[in-house]
Amino acid sequence: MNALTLRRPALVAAATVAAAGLSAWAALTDPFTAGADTVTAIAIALGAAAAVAGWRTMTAPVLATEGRALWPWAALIGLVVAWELVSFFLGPRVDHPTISSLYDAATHGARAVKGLLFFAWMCLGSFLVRR
Amino acid sequence: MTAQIASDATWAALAALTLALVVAAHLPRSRVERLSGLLHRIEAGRVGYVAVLVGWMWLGWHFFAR
Repeated sequence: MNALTLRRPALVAAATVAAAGLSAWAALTDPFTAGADTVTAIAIALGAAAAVAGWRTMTAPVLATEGRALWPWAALIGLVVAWELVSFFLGPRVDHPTISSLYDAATHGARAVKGLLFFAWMCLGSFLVRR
Repeated sequence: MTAQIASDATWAALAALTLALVVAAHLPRSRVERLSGLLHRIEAGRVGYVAVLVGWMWLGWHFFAR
């Protein structure tokens, strides 16, 4: 067991606490304010720092499921993009909501939902950064 | 049926389709790639990796700051 192995659980715990703290902060902010800009920029900077730190040593992802079909996902993404564009150009937004307006409606006055979504976004970033 | 109901129903159907695809991909002997596998495939190359991370950053900025 090396030092990194010993440190890893502590790092994960610290990162989780930090992400929870940032999420709580984000939940209390409103869009288009300095607070919202700051907390989002900090999260993005943390993600960028993690990516840069692992850039030289990162390994290619292990593709345990190679050979499986990708077309269902491509079709679904195509449908979502198409409907997003239809909604965007048709308007008005109340009749044809986009993903952004659905998000606004879901988080309006629901700070806990916004905090949870921010935490989920940070978890996604942690999953995406290769080590 | 109003346009709003039709639009909401379409979004609900797309969300259900996404959930169904996630479940289908995790079934034993499934031929459908998992969402995690899809993301890993996209970010297997360095260009794809950077694109995925920039997309993640844009997503956060768009939804939480703007």
